[in-house]
Amino acid sequence: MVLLIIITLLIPDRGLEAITKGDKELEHKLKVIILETEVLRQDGKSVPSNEYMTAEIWENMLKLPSRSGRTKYLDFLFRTSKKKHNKLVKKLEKRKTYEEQLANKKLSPKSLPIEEHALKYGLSFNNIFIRFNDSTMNNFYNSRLIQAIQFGQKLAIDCGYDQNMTKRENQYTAKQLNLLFAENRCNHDPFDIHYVNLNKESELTKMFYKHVPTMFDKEFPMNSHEKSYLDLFPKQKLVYLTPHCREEMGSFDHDAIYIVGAIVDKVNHEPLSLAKAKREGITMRKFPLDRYLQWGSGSGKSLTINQCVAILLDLKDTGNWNYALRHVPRRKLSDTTTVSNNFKHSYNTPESFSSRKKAYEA
Amino acid sequence: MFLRTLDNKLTNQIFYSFRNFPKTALSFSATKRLSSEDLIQIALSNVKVKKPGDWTRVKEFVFAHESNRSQFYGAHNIDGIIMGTLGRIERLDLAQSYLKYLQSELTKPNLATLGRYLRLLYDSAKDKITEAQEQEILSICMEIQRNNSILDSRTLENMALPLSLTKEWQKCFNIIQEIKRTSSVSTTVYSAVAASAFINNEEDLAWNLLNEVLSLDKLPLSVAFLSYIEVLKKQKRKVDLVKLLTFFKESEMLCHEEVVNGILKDFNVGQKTTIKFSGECQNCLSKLKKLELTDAEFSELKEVFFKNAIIGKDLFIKTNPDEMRKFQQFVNSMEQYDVVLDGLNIAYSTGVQKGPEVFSRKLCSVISHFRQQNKSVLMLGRVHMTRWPKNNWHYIKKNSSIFLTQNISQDDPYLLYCALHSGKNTIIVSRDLMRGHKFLLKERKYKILFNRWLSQRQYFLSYVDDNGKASFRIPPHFSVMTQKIDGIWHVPYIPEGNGTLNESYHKTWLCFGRGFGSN
Repeated sequence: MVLLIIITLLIPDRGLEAITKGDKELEHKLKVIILETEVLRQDGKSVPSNEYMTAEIWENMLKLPSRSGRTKYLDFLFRTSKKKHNKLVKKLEKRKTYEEQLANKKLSPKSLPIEEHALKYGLSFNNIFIRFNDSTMNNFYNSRLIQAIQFGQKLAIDCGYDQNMTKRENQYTAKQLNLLFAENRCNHDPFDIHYVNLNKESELTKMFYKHVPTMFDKEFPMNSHEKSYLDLFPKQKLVYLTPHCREEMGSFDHDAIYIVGAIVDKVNHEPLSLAKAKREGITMRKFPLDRYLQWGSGSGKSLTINQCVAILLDLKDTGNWNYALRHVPRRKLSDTTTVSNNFKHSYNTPESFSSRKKAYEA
Repeated sequence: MFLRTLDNKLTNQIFYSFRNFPKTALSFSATKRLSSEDLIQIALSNVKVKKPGDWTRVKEFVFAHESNRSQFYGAHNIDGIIMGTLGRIERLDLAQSYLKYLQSELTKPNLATLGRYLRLLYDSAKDKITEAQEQEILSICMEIQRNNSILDSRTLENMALPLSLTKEWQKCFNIIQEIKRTSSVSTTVYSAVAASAFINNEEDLAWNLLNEVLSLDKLPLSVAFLSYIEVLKKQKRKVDLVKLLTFFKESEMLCHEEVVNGILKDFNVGQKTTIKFSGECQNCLSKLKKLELTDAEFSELKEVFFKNAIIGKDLFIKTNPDEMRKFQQFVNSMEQYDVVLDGLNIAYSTGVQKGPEVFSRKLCSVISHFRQQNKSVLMLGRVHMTRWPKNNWHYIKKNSSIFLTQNISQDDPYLLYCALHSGKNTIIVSRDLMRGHKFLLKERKYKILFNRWLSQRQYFLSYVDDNGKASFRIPPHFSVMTQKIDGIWHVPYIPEGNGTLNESYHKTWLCFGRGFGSN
C-alpha cells in the first residue's frame, strides 16, 4: 500500500510544483486531494484513470472547497473520459475497415471495364463535380457573413458575464457561442453578429478562442469588441432579450439591434441580464414562450444561446413564431406527438419545405 | 387525411429511430450499470460464502456479470465495493472473513476497504464495545497511521468514528483538525466525539462541540444526547437532565423521538402528550407560551433583513433605485397596520389561469374579512393589478392602503419588510413559506429569529367559499420549542418515520409534569 501511494503521488509530480508554487499548505492540500481521489477510486466511485488526470485538472480540484464538489467533478471527468475513449475506439475500427477496403481495391485495380466505370456515378467513379474541400465551404459561408456585415441586421451577443459564471458554465457558454456562429453563417441571410464586452483575458474568451482560433484575425468575418453595445450602437435601437422581464416580444423588428446575454446559469439563477438592462435603461423583451408552447413539467424553460439565435434567425426569415420556436427542445414540451406533427425538425424533408413555404405565406 | 397522419407517424418513427442510437457495448451510458450494492448482493445470493476461499468465486461472478461489460469493476476497486456492501447490510462476520481472505492472498487491504471496515466496526460496536473490538480498532488505526504520512478526509472520518468509542478518543480532536484542512467535518463525527466526551466526563468539551455544530448551521445527531442521558442514569444525576433541556431551549432545536424515548426509559419522569391549539397541555393542563422577540432582537432582525434580502448584492436584481426611494418614503411615512396582505399570492391561490375577475374577488373577500374585524389593512401588489375589474379594484382601494411594486420587481421581500416595520403584532397573509428569504439571512441566529417571528404571524389562506367568506390556517397560540412553564418542562420532538413536523406539531410533545426540575 505504501508503494501504491507513492506511485500515485509521483504521477502528477511534474505539475505539482507548478500548481502549488511552493506554498506548503497548498501542497499538503493537494497531496491529500490526490490521496482522496485514489481512495474514491478504490471505493468503486466513478473516477477517471490516473493518466487522464492532468495538472490542469488537479488545479481545478484544489479550487473546489468541498468533498462532495470534488466527487461530482470526478464523476463528470469520468464520463467525459469514457466518451473520449469510446470515440477513439470507434475511430480505430472505422480506420481498419477503410484500410481493408483500400487493400481490396488495390488487389483488383482494374476490375471494371471503362464503359462500366463511366456509367457508375459516385465518388472515385464518374462524377461531374470536383471534390469540395472544407476550405471552399468555409469561404462560401464566410462570404455570406461579409455580405451581412455590409447589409445585414446587427445582433449583439453580450459576453460580459464571465465573472458571474463558474468554470464549467464558461465552458458551456464558449461552446454555445461557437455553435451559434456556425449556425448563423449557414443561414441564407445571417445576422451581422457583434460579440461585445468581450474581455480578451477572460476565461470565456480563452475557451472560445480554442474553438475559433482565427477569431481575432483581421480578415475573419467576426466582430468582437471589448466595448459595450452602448458605445457601439444607438441606444434607442437596442432591445435586450432577457427571460426575466415581463414584456413579451411581439413581432420581429427589423430595425432593432437585439442583444442576447451570453450566460449559462446552472448554479446561480439571479436575473443578471434583467438587472443590467434595467441599470442601463434599455428596452427589454422576452420570447413569448408561454403564448405559443405547451410546456411540460420538470426541465424548466431555459434555452441555450444558440437556440435563441436560431429562433431569431427563423423569426427574421418568416415572422412566424410557431415556426421559429421549433428550436425549443421537444423534451421540454408536454405533448411530443402533436408538437412534432406541427413543426418539423429538419430543413431537408419535403414537409419541412412545404411548412416553410406555408410559413412564408402566412 | 388518414394517409397524411400515417405519413406523419412514419416520419416520426424514422426520426426517433435516428435519435435512439443503437446500443453497443461500447457506449458507456447507454446501458445503466447496476449499483455496486445490488451487484454484490446478487453475487452473494448466488455464491454461498462458507470459508474465506469462496470469495474468489464471488469476485469472479462480479467480473463476469453482464452489467460489468464496461469493466468498471476490476481488481482496483472490488475490495472497497465488497466491504462497502457488507457494511451496508451489516454483516460483520462476512467482513471479517473477507479480511482473512485478503490475508491469505497476501494482499494488504487498501485504505477504502479499511475505512469501510472501520465504519462497520463503529456501527456494530456503538451501543456496547467489547475489549477485543477496542483492541482491533486501535491496532487498525495505528497501522493506517504508521503506513501513511498523510490521510484523506474520508478515511480520517472513518477512523474518527470508531476511535471515539475507545480509550484513545481524544485523538479524534487531531483528526477533526486534519479533516478541516481539506473538507468540512460531518455532524456524524461531531456527534460521535461529543458522545464520547460525555461518557468520559468531559461535559464542557461536549457542549462546546455541540455548539460548534450549531454554529455551522447543522444539527447534532441523537447519539450525543443519548449518551448524555446514559451517563446521567449511571451517575444517578437525574437533576442534570435540566442541562439537556436548557440546551434544547437555547438552541431552539427539535430533538428526535429516540431521545425522548431514552429519557422515558431511563428516568421515571415525563409523559408523551398532546398540546391543544390554545397551548394547553393535555397532561398537566398548564398553558404553553408564545416566545416573543424582544424589541432589540426585533429591530436587529429588521435591519439585517433590509440589508440582506432587500438590498442584496446588486440593487438592480430585485428592484431599481427609483423604486427603492419610493419604497423608503412610503415606509417612513407608514402608519402601523394590523394586517399586511400579499395581494398576488392571495389572488393566485387557486391557480393563475382563473382570470382577473376571480383574482380580484378573492382579494376583496380577504380584505372584507379583516375589515369586519375592524383591522387596518395594507396590501402589497404589482402595478398590473390596477387593470383588474373596476368595481373590485375600487373596493380594494377604498378598504386598504396599497403599495404597488413595478411589474418586474420581487414583491415578497417588501411584504416582509413592511410587516417588520409595521410592528411586532402585524399579521402577514401569504401562502409563501419564504424559505428563500430566510436563507438570505445567512446566520443561524437571524434565521431562528426570523422563523420565530414569522411562524407566529403568518396566516395561510385555506379557501374562499361561494359566499365570499375566507378561511385561514392560523398559527397556534404557542411556540413549538422546548419551554419551561411554571416550573414544568415541555419538549417537542420529531416523530420517527416521517421527518416533518408540519402536520403533527401539537401531538408530539413530552411533558415532564410537576415533580421534575421545578426548583
